[in-house]
Formats: sequence, structure tokens, C-alpha cells
Amino acid sequence: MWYFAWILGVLMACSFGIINAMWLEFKGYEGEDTQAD
Amino acid sequence: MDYEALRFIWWLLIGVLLIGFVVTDGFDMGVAALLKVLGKSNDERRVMINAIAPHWDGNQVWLITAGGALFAAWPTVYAASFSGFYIALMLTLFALFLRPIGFEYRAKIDSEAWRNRWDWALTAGSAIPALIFGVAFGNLLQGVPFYFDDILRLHYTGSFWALLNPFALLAGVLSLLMILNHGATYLQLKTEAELKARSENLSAVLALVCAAIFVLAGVWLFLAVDGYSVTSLIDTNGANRTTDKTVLISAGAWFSNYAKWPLLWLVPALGVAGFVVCALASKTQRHITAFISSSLAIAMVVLTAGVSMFPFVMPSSSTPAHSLTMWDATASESTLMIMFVVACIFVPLILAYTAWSYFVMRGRLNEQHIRDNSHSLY
Amino acid sequence: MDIVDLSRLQFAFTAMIHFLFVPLTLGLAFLLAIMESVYVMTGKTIYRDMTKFWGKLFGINFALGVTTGIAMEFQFGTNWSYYSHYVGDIFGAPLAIEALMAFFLESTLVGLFFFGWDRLSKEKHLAVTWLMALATNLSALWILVANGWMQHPIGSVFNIDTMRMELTSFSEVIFNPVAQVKFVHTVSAGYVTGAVFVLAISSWYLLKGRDLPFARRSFAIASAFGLASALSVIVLGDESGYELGDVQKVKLAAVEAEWHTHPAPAAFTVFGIPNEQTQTTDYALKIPAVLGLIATRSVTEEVAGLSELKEKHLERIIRGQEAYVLMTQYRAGDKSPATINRFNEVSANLGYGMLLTAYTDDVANATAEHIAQAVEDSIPKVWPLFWSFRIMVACGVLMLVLFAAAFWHSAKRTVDKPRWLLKFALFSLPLPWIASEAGWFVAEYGRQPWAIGEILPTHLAVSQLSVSDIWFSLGAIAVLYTIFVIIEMWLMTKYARLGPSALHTGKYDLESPANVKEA
Repeated sequence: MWYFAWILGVLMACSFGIINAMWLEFKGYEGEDTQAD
Repeated sequence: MDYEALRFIWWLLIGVLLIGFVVTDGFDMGVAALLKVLGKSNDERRVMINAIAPHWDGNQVWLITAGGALFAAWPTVYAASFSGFYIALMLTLFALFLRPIGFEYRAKIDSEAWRNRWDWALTAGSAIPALIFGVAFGNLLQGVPFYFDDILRLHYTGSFWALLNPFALLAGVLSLLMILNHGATYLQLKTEAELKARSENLSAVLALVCAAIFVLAGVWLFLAVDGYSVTSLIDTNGANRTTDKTVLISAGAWFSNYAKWPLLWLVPALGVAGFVVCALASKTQRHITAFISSSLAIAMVVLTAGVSMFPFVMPSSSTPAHSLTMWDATASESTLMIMFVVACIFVPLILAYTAWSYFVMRGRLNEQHIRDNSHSLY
Repeated sequence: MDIVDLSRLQFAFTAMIHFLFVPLTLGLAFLLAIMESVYVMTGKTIYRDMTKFWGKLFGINFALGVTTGIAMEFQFGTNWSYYSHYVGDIFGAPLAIEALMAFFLESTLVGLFFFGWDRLSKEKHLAVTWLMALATNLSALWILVANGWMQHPIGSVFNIDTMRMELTSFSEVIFNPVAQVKFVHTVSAGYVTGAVFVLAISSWYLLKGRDLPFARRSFAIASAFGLASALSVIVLGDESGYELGDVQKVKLAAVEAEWHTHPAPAAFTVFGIPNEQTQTTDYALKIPAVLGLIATRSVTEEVAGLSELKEKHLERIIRGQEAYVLMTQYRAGDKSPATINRFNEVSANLGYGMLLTAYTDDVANATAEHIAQAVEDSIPKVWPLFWSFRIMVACGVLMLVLFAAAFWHSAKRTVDKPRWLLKFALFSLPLPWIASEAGWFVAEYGRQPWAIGEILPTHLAVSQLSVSDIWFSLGAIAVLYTIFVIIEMWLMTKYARLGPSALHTGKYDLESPANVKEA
């Protein structure tokens, strides 16, 4: 059932993108003098 | 529900989609075609464009949907009309190409020449399709020359230039003017000051002209255009037998439905009344009434064409027996049923979120607003 | 050129140009939703600016997607009218549903996405963006259901009275396995396209040392989303759909230059020069067993070779010839039970009989040469498929490597990414488009000589137009599209160079008046 695989896949890819951004934000971007707001 | 009922429902639904197209996309085409007429400065033209900016794309999907529904519900009609009117359809297509990019790209470069070109592109892209759709309807009412061969391949024997006959051109002019009028009534709702005043004045005249042309076209149809009628029995519940019928061409045949059901006279009557009310309302600054009556009028014009031709949708002038009707050029019963269910689910949803988007974007626009948001607006 | 060649050329041109814009829309829509989600969750306005800026580029691309999309829907009727009549009962439904279910939603929400920022709450606007992304993907779903049916037509039956295919099972059409793999493969390719686009342009800012916080964050999101997507395009590559139906088998054999059936499991040809004359692949470099594993998911099943497939086609063309003759007799009025029964026995081959109409009008008396020619033409040319498939795969692998490296550096939080990586990302910009076009070519050219696999040959599907009419439309479309694409690329470059400064928020690097003249 490939349609089902797509639903899972796209959710995973999007959360992967969101989590990566949030994680970097949380840890702070190294070398950035000021926090971007 | 039997096959006959489904076929009738699909005749109605195709009508609903076409009316949805002229009523919604009609006003944004009208506004775009009036850019050079009503907009005296760049800011005014930007007010006009931004009045339709959030909606024209959604509106245009009515056309896409009507095309798709024609494909699914009346495949033979879709095949015959699109290939028969080849050059006309291609010109429509080229004009329609200009709209999405015109709206999106016009404000991307700050140059008078650039904007001016896109203004003309938007004007042409909106006026030409309106004109051609009218011409196409004018030709359908007269019948077009085509026949089917033994494996039901369609052969169209007319030329593009034959489409440009006087009656069809009149229908084209009516179509164009009513779209322009419709655009002007929308501008009455969405603009302020001078632009609004100009729109009111335009509608006050244009709506009456539309009413006059509509009546004139009706008289012409009665006096000089032969109609079609099926003289054999059509099995409205059976498989399509598109080429097995006898069809008679006779004067006044397009009025036989009105003779049979006199109540149908209400359809053209409401069309004329709609235009008249629109003119009066524009003059007296009743903007909502003007827009609604204009919508009603153009819906009734489309419906009048449909009702007059019923059950025909594409009569053949050269081989009348091969004319396409809504009984014998449809999809199979199961496809009509599936598509009916789909339409029942999605059309109300579409109406709901479309209404919501108009609600979100409600209110009038003025030039100050354009200047304040110069970089985020069209 | 005759009307068939011209109509094919016009359709191929419009489809391939349309397909320049579609994948980017599919991918960028989800990237916008991701960026805006981070904005809503963290409240950092830089993410709102990212959504708006990449949204501007999305808009420039979307406009041409809409423009070229209208042409696609019209063309089935204008140039392929027999096709529309013959299969409209099945093929029209997904197109209509696409408009009702997806395109309406997408087009309405696009308006709110661009113009609703000040009129909707953060959460509502975010919902609009997500729904817009979902709707673009649902659009793709229905289009690929339609396209999948062309490759592997199931759930339908020929009706001799109405002289067309009619629907028997809509769920079979929707859950058509070929449509499913095609959908997943195509949308994932779209996500990769969006991710490469954002990654390449962000890398350019990083190389230039401009708008660094903006570029780093865009880079991070694109690399994570892109890595997940690139993995899924390759894992869900649609080779898994190639064992289904004759057309797909032919395509697989041509793509892999499998001239003859070999004992299972088949070897995979990495490289070689397909030679049509000798029916062999010169200088072939083969890896044992891999093709059999990929295509059949087993070690015991054979992958059919072209010569064996042609033998089968010969049989079917002869039976199809009989079906065609019986069909003509029936339609001329011979409705005897003998005719009907015999027709029903051979009717599955009617499409193969129709292949003969390309060589003779008198199918009943087609000569042995006609039949031999039809068999020869029943498979597409091998080398274009062999090569475009390999180009697609090579681009795919390169992009996977790119995302792996980009994600690695992003996760390591290396602020100053190595310059080779940034350059690699920048120069990878054309790869997803090359891969998409090559993949599209494999799917559509590989289906020839069929418009609808085993049902309707391409040469019969066209509208009976005049050659001059099609020259006119083809010429006009070529000129218009060229102008549009040039304008689009120019605007895209201009705005990409301008970067987030195009938003005029006053926060970005190029916004001193000396740097910005317009927009």
C-alpha cells in the first residue's frame, strides 16, 4: 500500500525538517554573535 | 437513480459549472479587461488588480473544472467541441496563458514600460476568452459541421473563419460586454472614490446595452436561425447510440421548449430583468444589488442558451443525425454516478472555503493601502 | 511530419515545460509549511521572513505552473479527440476530481497564503499553508492516477456499442499499483527538487557571505527535508512497478537493454552501448542478479527480454486483427451470436489489431510485411530509454550524496560549511530538473507505441486536424513558452540574487539604498 507509505513518508520528512531547525535553534547557532529573532 | 436521471443531473451540473465560471471568473476577467478603461493611474490599476488578486486563481478553476467535468461526463462532447473549435480554442488558450503570469509578474519590476505591457497582456488575456466563448455559443446554436466515421472518429469539416459569422459575433460581443459589466459591478463593491464612481457610470450604461443585445439576439434566433429537433425515439436509459437517430432542422425549433413549458420564459425574462436592475442599482449606488443582479443576468444568459437547445449540446449542421445530445453523448452510468457523488461532496466544500476566502479578504481597497503595502501586493 | 508526429511533439513539449514547474511547486510548498511551522512554534520572525521570501520565488514558479497546466487539460480534447472519446469514461474522472478536490483548494489558498498575512491569525495562516501544500500533492495524486491508468489500464472494459472503454471498477483505477508507485516516486522527486532549490540558493548566499543567519537556517531545513526525500525517491523508485502488465515489461526490458530473456535472476547493466542492429549491448558492464532482485523482488522470476516480448506481440497482433475485423462486421450490422461470441474471445487483443491501422487501411487483408512491421514497432527504441534512465539514476545518486553531506554538516552545527560543499550544492541546482525530465521521458516514451497500454495506439488517438493547424499551434506555443520561460528565469534569478532584502523589512544585507533599485 504505497499511498499509506507516502502519508508516513511525508510526515516523517516534514517533521525531520522541523525538528532539525528547532534543534539547531535550541542549541544556538555556533559562531553567531547575536540570536536571530 | 437510473441512467436517465443521472444524464439529466449532469446536464444541470455542467450548467452549474459553466455558470460558476462566468459568475466568478467573469468578474475578474471583467476587471482585468477594464484595466486600461477605468484605471487612470498605476495606483488605480493596482487597486483594481489587488481587488481580484486573492481570488482570480480560485475563480479560474471553475473553467478547469468545467473542462474536466465535460471530459468525464460528456467525453464525446469534450472531444468534439475542443478539436472542432481547434484554432479558436488555441487562441483562447494563448490568451489565458497571459493571466497567471500577468498578475504575478506585473509588480515584480518597477518600470512603467514593464507594467504597461502586462496591463495589455491582462486586458487581452481576459477579453479574448470572453469574446471567443460567446462566439462558440453562437455557433453551437447554429450547429457546426462534423460527422463521425465507422469507428466513431470525429471529422470536423468547417473552417475557423466560418465561425466568425454575424450571429456568432453578436453572441461574442454580448459575452464580452456582460463580463465587462460584471467586472464593473465588482469594482463598485471593492473600490472607493473616483474609481467607484467610474464603475457605477459604466455599469449604468453597459448593463442596458447588454439587455438590448440579449433581446436582439433572441429575436434574431427566432427569425433567422434554424433550430434542431430529434424526430426519432431516443432511449434515454440505454447505451449511447450517438449516430443512430433522425434529426430535423427547422425554423423556430429552438423555441419549442418554451412552447412546451411556458414557465421557461422566466429564464430569459430574468436575464433581461437582471441587466435592467443592475443598471438602476449602479446608478443609485446600491452596489450589492448591482453585483447580484449582474450575476443573475449572466447566469440566465447561459441558461437561456442551454434551455433553448435542450436536449442538444452540439448539433451537427452537415450530418444532423450525428448531433450530440445530453442523452446520447454521455459517460457510462457508473462514471456519471461516481462523478455525481464526488460533486455532491466537493461542490459544497468549495463554495464554503471560497466564501471564507472572500470573507477574509473583505473590504474596500484604496490607493493609500496600495502605497503602504507596495512590496507585498500585486 | 504528419499530424501524429506533430501532435506528439506538441504534447511532449507542453508536458515537459509544464513539468519544469510542477516538481518545484510540490517540494517548495512543504518547505514553506515547515518554515512557517518553525515560525509559529518559536515566534522568531526570521522564519516568517524565510516563508515570505521563498514564498515569493514559489509564486514566480507557480504562475507558470498554472499557465502551462491549462494547456495540458485542453490538449486532450483539442489534439487527442479520439483518445478523449475512447477512454474519457475512465480517464476524465480523475482529471475532474483533481479539479474539484485539489486544484480548487490549492488555488483558493494560494491567494490567502500571499495576501492573508495581516488578515489571518498566525495559526490560521499556518493551516492555510499546510492545506495548500497538501492540495498540491492531491493534485499530483489524481493526475498520476490518470497517468498510471495509461500505463496499466485496469478496472475497465471495451463496449462495442459505444465504441469505447468503460469503467468497471473505480477503486481498481485509484489503487492501480502502477499509479501508486508513480505517485510516491513523482512527489518525492518534487520534494527533492524543492530541497535542492533552497539548498543551492542558500549555499550561494553562504559562499558570498551574505544574510548568513537566513541562509544557514534555510540550509538546515532543506538538507534535512531533502535527505529524507532523496532516500524515499530511490527506495520507492518506480522500478517496482515494472513487472505489471505488458507495457511496463517492455519498458523495463528497454530501459535495461534486456534483448533476450536470461535465466533468473537477471543481471543489471550498469553501462553499455545498446546496438539495435545486432540486438545486443556492446561493452556491457553487468552486475549479476541485481535487476532480477529489483524488478521482481525474487531470485527465481525471469525478467522478460525484448525478443520474447515481440514473439508474444506477434501472436496478439494476429488475434487482434481478427478482433478488429469482427468489430467492423458487428458495427456494420452483423450482430449474429457467432460474431459476438468470437469477438468476446479475442477482444482483449483489439488494441494490437489497431496497431495495424498505421500500415494499412484494410486491416482484414494486412500482409505479412505489415504484421512484421507492427511487431517491430511494438517496442520503443532502446537507446533513448537506456540512457535517460541512467541519467536519471546518476542525478538521483548525486543528490543523495549532496544531502547526506549537507545534513551531516548541518547536524554537526558547522557554521562555516566547507566551500566544496557549498559549491557542490550550488552546481547541483539543475540536477533535479534533469532527473525529472529524464524520468518523465522514460515513462512516456517507454509506453510507445501505445497511448493507453495495449488498448489504444498513439497514432489512432489523435484529432483529425490539418497539418497547418497543428503547425500554427505548435509554433505559437513554442514562441510563447520560450518567452515565458526566459522571463521566469530572469525574474527568478533577480529575486534570488536580491535574497530576503526583496521583502523590504529593513533587516537584510542588501537594503541600503545604494544596493536596491527596485522591487
